[in-house]
Amino acid sequence: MEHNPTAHWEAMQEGNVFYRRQQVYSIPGKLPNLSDYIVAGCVYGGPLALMRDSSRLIALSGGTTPFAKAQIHVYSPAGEPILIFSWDQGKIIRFGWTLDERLAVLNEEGVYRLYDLQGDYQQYSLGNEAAEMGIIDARIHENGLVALTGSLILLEIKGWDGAKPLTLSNPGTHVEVLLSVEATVYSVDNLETTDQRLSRGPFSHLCPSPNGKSLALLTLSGTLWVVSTDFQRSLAEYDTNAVPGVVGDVRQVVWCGNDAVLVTWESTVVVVGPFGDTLQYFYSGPTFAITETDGVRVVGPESCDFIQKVPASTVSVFRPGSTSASAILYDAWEQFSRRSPKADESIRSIKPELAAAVDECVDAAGREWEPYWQRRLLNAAKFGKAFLDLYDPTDFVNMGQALKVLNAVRFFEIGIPITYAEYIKLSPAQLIGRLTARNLHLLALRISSFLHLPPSAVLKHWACAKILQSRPTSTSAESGLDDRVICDAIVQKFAQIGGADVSYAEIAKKAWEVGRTDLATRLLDHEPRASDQVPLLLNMKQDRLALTKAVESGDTDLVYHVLLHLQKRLALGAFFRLIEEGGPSLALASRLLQVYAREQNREMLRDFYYSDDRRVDSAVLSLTEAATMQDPTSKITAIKAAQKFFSEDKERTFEAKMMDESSRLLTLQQQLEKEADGKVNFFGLSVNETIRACLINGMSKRADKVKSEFKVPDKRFWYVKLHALTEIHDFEGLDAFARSRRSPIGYQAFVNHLVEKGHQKEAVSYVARCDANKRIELYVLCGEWRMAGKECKDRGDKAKIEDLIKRCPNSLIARELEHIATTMR
Amino acid sequence: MEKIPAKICQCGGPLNVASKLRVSAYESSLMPRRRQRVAWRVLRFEHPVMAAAVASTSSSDEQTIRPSQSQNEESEPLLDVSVLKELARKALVDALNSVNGAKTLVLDPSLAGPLGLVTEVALLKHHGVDKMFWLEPGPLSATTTNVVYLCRPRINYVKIIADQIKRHGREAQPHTYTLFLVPRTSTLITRILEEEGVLGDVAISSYNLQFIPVADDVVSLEHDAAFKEIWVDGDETVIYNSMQALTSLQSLFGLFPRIVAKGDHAARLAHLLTKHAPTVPTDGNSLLGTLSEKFDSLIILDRRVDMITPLLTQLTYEGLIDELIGIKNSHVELPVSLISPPAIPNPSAAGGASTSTAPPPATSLTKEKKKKHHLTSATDPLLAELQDLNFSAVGKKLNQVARRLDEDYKLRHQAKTVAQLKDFVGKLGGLQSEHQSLRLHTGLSEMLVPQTRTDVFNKSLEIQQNLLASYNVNDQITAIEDLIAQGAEMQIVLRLLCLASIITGGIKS
Repeated sequence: MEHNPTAHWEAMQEGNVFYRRQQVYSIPGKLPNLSDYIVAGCVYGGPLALMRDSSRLIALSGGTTPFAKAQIHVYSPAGEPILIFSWDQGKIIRFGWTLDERLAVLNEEGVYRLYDLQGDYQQYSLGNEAAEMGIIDARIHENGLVALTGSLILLEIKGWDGAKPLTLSNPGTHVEVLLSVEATVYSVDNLETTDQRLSRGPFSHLCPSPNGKSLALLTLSGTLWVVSTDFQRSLAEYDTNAVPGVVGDVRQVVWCGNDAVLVTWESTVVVVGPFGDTLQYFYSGPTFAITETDGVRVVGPESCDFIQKVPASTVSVFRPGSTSASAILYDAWEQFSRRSPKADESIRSIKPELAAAVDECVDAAGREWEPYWQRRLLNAAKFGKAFLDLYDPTDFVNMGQALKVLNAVRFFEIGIPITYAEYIKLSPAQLIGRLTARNLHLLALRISSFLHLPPSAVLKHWACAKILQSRPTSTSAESGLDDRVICDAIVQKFAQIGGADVSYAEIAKKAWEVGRTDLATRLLDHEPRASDQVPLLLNMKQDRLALTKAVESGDTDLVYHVLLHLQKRLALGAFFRLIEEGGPSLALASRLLQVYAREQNREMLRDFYYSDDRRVDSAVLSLTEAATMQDPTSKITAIKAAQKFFSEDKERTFEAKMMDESSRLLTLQQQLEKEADGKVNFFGLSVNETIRACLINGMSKRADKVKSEFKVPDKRFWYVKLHALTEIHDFEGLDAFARSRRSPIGYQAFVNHLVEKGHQKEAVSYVARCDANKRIELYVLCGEWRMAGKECKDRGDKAKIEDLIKRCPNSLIARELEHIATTMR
Repeated sequence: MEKIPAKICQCGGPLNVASKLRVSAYESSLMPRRRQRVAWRVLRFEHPVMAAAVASTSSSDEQTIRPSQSQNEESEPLLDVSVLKELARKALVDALNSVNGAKTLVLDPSLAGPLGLVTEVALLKHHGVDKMFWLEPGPLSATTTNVVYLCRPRINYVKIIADQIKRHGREAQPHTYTLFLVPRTSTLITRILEEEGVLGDVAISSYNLQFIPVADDVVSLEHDAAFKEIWVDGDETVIYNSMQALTSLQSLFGLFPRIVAKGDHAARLAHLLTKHAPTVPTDGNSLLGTLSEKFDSLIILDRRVDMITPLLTQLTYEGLIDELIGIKNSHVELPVSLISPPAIPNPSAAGGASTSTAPPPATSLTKEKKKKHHLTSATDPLLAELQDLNFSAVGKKLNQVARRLDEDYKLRHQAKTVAQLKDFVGKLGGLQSEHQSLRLHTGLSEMLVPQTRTDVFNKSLEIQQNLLASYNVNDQITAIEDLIAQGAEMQIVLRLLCLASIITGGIKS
């Protein structure tokens, strides 16, 4: 028969509140004498770290004595050793646990390391200043630490990923540090330092409550004083000297929940309630207490206990004489299992509150440590819910699952005495993380599949652990085999369990970090995300593979990442060779390199083209540069260079010829500018524009020369000259030009252009030279209606003249046209 | 305009296209502005790589041919692409808000157009933008501490930025710089900032601007340099970005059940899309991983599959506006008087609406001050009717609308009872905006007409059509040479030469 749950209950506050002490593990002789050690405990049922306290005075006051080589021991709450490692760095100032169960160890040189439960660590530093001044004290909490340097500056580290230390009283930090200085307490927060103007100090112990609202202070004279954290309200006072039979100094002042404080001595533990009432527990030796979310864990020489205020639901069900619905439900179920008809009667009496009673029984089940009582409470709930028409069983099912998980991890071999409240707060995923940190992969995997969580986190940790444990054997051939076996094992396991979203790159990185490049390469080959794959390949100096994978991914930024990285690391020749030898598969990389180099590194591009015999590209590059050049001579030189490159390629004779003409034109234009005494800009004009500029500036001989030199077709020349002469209103010249020979563009173009530019009068003279059948309309275009009419008459086109009469702009002209019409036959 | 109608319907008769969503890297002149009517052109998106997602619900031909007004009322758009606009807006606001306090915004000019389609200046001001500058070479005088650069990851831009930061450094002007790259951050840019020695001064982040709805059935990346980047530089970034944008589209509307691609780069995009097939996220909120019910298939076309179409002159109304005036990011620059309503919009005084407010003659319009106008059928139903008409039919249509509008105004004389009058007043707003729209399009048409009558325009059309029919190819080359001799615009000549080269398989000199 199990003890009744109330057997460990002890009443406080006149029987309104109960506290209970439950033995979680029996650990006789497993732990050394705690008073010889400095201890740090991890919450959520985490492990204890112990370091020998060779001299307490030295440990707390910062000293000159060099500290001998030290060892740190880590024990599970069930007293099983988890890890031992030695410390060869400077003297340890303080150590403590992070939220994810890593042990943070800070030494006097401002260096801190984060050890995981396998003994692997990361090392960070608080910076140079801290190293020079030394660290004299520190406090480590779940999400960071605050250190006090020798120059009395408070440095804060936020998070555990190597963040830069911030000087406290910088805006933006949210940590508040309380310093007990002489009779008062200073609070140093984000903006300023405030003297709280107290007079009862100094205080030997100072401890904030879990919810941060109250503060427990212990004066040197032994008075425990509880105040609100703003120091405005005094909440309780208790004289610890009044505790009978205690020996020596107070060891710890910690909170038990938010309304009771636990004070420990060498072998006594006293719970001080809010109204100064106390409960006293005795141990056979020194203890260590760790505040948990809903209670306090006390590790003594014989046992690991959990002291807490009995949760409301448990009180409601089990308090002797309780008449709550849940107590009656529980009673009814007991009656029922004894086949007593009273069960029915009891259930009926609480029918209106039955749903709440069921919920309360479910909750109470979560608060019990013994599976026996858990099962009984769940049975009572199950019994009760059968009487309900509508009941959502989610909570009931979840509680059943949670308890199964909790009982599994609380088993002494696993040794995680986590409470239900903490399990909910921590989340199942975090709990699984704690299991993998202990290399308990099978249990972790089973729990995650039981709770329908993705197995990827467990698998990833498992793979990394497997790589770490299978160190390669002596000969290299064997290690090659090993690599393949391990890689296959990992891939197979992932495929089997469905670790599709595990990043192979992260595992490969681990393999590479422990020096197993070949294994890393093999693993990386299974990584589908190129963006994860490529950077590691680069680190591993698998250059070609990295580049190929980047190109295959189609992600141009990734290609650039590789290119720019390689360009920095490799010699230029080797770099070019890598790309050129890649052939068409690396064509994208080659083109991107050109895009980059064209803008940023022309010299490299020139070398690249030259080393690869790319004549045409070299020529185009030369031309591009010529386009932006200002200085005429260098522009001509650049074009000539392009011409030379083109001429070296048989396919590019046309381009070579064009380059030749271009440079000749530029040279000629330079000459023309000289002839025009620099008053006219020729340089850079097209052939047509050059001819035009010559004509406009009265250099018509020169225009002819340009025409013949660049074989300008007659038609084009005539148009250019027509346009140019019209532009400078040289109508005499135009007339002479038109008569110089028969126009290759006809004369209609003359008429049209002159009219378009508003020279109708000048246009008229050319109409007669146009095709006869167009003349009528051309005269109309010039506004010469009478001549158009005359033309009609000459051609005997009566219909046309009628048409003209209709279209003409005014009656005067109409009359004249009619007159002409009448003379026609 | 006599010559225009000859070939306009060569591409096949009307087809059901209303249910197709057009997706493009850039809506530009490379993409002919004919849709609805000419089916295969509709799918011939944009640039190197374009994609058409075809919605699965098959509406019948009758539905699509029905007058657009009634269609708008009846059928919901198959895909609500406006959600893309909202996403783009929100991302911009988030980006701006990530920089505390007042800021000076320095904007990539090539982004102004696309951004104009998703946001407005007021929104920027509302989120702390004090002043805005173009990202241009030369000093930057910022009055605020925060300077925010928003640009595409182009090397020349970064050099300008680096130069401005160094200048501020020399002048001892303290600023904090934030660089938002569109659509994502870039190693290349980081490297160049490092080489220029200013990397430490700039916080680099990204603004993921993806598809922008250009019309209710067109979304576009509005990346206007896409064709050049792929074909001239060989830089395939746009393809990767397209893949990401299409993936986002899939996360909104579900996976494409089928992907079809034509052309090398289209195949590449299709390959990337399948390779990067989104994995099912754990939150389960997204549609990723389930086949879309909205899409039937995704059709990706490489612009190079058909290089002829963009070389031809577009002859629809909207097409001609693009050819002769220019449409950029759905905006067209127009004389102010065309856009803003006339000073006295007083329909009550006008018996005939079309006569009283006839726009000023086209010649004076061209010299006026210009203003950008957003061409969108969402707010301009008349445009929806006109945009895909052959230009020769536009005049007639405008005339019809003018008459109808006139009659609608006259209805007011028939209003005898107060209720009828109230009814008329209710319609008045609609009538007035329709009236303004009519003015705009009449004015626009008048601007276009003279340009379609020039010798060069008509000669070039003639050459195009002869080339397409492979009629007397040598004569066409001679005709192009004549155009050169007459000093025709370089762009026209080059377009014709390219066309001739493609059709005849290279021009012999």
